[in-house]
Amino acid sequence: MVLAILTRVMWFRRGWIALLLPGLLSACGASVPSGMDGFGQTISLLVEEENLAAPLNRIASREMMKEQIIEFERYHPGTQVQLEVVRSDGLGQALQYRASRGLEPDLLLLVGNDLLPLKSKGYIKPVRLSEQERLNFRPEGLLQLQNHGEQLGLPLFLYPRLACYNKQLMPEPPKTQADLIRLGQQGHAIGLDSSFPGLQWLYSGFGGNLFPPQGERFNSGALLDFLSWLRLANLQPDITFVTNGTELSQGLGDGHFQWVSCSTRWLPSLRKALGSRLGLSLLPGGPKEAAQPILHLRTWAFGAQSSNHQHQLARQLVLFNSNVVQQRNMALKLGTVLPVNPAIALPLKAYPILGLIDEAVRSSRRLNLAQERQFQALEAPAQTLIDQVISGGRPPEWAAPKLEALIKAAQPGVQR
Amino acid sequence: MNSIVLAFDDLFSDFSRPAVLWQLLVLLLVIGLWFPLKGVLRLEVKFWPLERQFPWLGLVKPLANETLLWLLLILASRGLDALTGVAGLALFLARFYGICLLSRVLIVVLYQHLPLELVRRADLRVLRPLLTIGGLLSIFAQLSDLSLLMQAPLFSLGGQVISFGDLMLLLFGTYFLAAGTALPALALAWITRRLFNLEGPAYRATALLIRYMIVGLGLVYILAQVGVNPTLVAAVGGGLSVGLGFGLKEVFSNFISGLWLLLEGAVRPGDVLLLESVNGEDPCEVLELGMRATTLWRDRDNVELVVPNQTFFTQSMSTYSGIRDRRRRGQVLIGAAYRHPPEQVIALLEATAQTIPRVLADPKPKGLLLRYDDSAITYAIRYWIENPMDGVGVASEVGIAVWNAFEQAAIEIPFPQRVVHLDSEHQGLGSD
Repeated sequence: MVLAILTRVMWFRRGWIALLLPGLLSACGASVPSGMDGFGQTISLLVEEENLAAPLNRIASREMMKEQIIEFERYHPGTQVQLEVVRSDGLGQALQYRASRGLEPDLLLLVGNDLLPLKSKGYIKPVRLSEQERLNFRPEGLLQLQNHGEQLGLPLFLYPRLACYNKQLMPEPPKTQADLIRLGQQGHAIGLDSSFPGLQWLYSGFGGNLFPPQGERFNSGALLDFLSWLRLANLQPDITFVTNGTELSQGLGDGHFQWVSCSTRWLPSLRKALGSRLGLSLLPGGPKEAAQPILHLRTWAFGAQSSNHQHQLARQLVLFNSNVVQQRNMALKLGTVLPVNPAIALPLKAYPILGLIDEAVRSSRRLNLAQERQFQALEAPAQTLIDQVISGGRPPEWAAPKLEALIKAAQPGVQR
Repeated sequence: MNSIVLAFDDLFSDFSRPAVLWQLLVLLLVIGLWFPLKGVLRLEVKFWPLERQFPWLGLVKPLANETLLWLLLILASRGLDALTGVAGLALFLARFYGICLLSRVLIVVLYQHLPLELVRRADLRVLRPLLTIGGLLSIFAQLSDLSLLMQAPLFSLGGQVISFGDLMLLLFGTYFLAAGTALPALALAWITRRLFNLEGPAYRATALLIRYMIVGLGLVYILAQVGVNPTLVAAVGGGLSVGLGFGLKEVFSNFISGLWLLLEGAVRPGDVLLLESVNGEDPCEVLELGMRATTLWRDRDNVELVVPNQTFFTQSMSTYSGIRDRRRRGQVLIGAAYRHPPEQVIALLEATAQTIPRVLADPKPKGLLLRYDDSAITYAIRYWIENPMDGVGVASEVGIAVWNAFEQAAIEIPFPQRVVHLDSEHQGLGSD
């Protein structure tokens, strides 16, 4: 009956009436005033997920997010959050599809903090915070996500890099890069991430800095030492370079490796695989400096096509997740991430891993949005050169000046 | 149920986005512009320059205003896209309107090549509902998470959770199975006919059987997709068996009877049957042989009679369109006075019947002396007609022609006469 009525009403010479239907709905939707309960209180949240994340790590991340949404909805009656998860390699396409329809998600939770391309494509818009609201975030975290004074994103968690090892097979982890080579020579299976971002901690140990402070000269010697070390490491039969983190994580879990450089994001699956045998330490330092890996953030960004009401709801969700109670609960529950709220005093003695992560965060290098963009642009050509050195195709002496030229070309401000 | 509320609230929220509002506003403006424009252009009534060279243009002319609207919608959406880069929704709506328009053109073309009723049914029962439902779901999918809505649980049936999508599949899937399989079944039957050189009745039966088979398999597929518990199906099947034994016996019997009649070819669409009624026997034409009943048409009062299939299966029936031919023999009875020689009357009757156009010349009309009645000799003029449904009309024409012929030939059609003789002797005695 309903079908017959619909068919008659909507068909066909009055078909334009069907086109008016969305218009009428939109008029109703637009008239929802701020703070009104009932219809129009749903915001959409798009969560980016790493392409090759282990299922357990993915589940842990999703479950945590779902729990937070339930908590938020409980304290904000009437408000609903529509959660959608998308892999990193599908993020651009998903955003492009939605943006072309005017249906950009109200809130994005990103794996990294490369926000400038999203801003330039018009996918995200800056957020304004009151002084009181800014207190929810570490100042350096906020600064890291600013561009020309605009706050393009807000941090949720900090994910530093650590060294993960099998305590049963390697009672004492290496303290220096030289120790790492020595352990490799002694038959301990070492796994290293050969990706350009995954090698930055090694480079920093030689005093290298991709983004030297203003006025400081670029350290060319560090680059050659770094590349030479990579060549030396690959000469050791028990030191293996792999192209993605999942291989390292799985390799440590199934006993293929005894020591790997790891991200705190992988800890749920490593804990499950190794249990009490899982050992964690800071990454080994180099001959010049301690290892300073690049600090990764889990970042919030706000959709550019939201109504004011939706934007406010999205802000509320972010601020809710960054308040002292929620951040502390999440940090203690996961035990693998460091909160961004500076007002939290974590029981670091009771949770030694959090203490270690805290130390790793302090020793990590933060990239601001411009540096992050330059780093991303540099990644592909630099990787080619590094792969040639690691594989033995080219000597470090050949690759070092080329890599230096690439780095300098990517940064207009660096002294030559 | 909460998921359904969430999905619809999400849909509602999406309509409050400025970029969505802009797109819809542009579409509304286009519709507003289209109204006066179509009044000015009057495309549907004006003569088109190429109409003579391309006569098919005349067929699509009634869709001229809708085509104009579609062009305007596409132009506006493209313009918005070029200006802002955000017009995906407007383009989708314009394209969907274009698909609807194309379906109308398709129907116009099909009307030229296929039986009118078949196309009309396919259009009304399948194409329009399909586009309407598909359109609504597509618009929903553009704006909100359709999978969330489809997976939203509605109720539990025998321990099995039925989601919104399951319900949609059950409702619309079965509807489209029942309504939309006629044409595919006909196509398959046509192939079978070509392969096995099937006769008419067998062809129709094959088409129906193929259709029932598609519907049956489709239902099994739908139930499997929905994930209905096999135990539940068995329980329902058991209940159905009991139902068949009691209440559904007649339904099942009619269904089987219909199939049998089709296979046998005893009753086919187009046949003319004699159906008993209070007025005697009425010839009726078979219009359709359905799953439960057969539809007959009685021309006397233009009534469509729905007769259960079982009736034809269990009772004897007279048909004019059986194995031999479709011809019907009619007769008109008439009385002529005793004084007219029978040879003259019979010759006149035969000659008169031959003047009626709908009376067949071969076999010739035959006049007969039937009996000697009280007031007249009763004659019959028997003749053959091509269409059995014309029996009453031709009989009337023959009757009128005979009356006129008798009038001209001064042959009396006597009315019943009774001569009463009074006995005078008995009358006189009585008076004493």
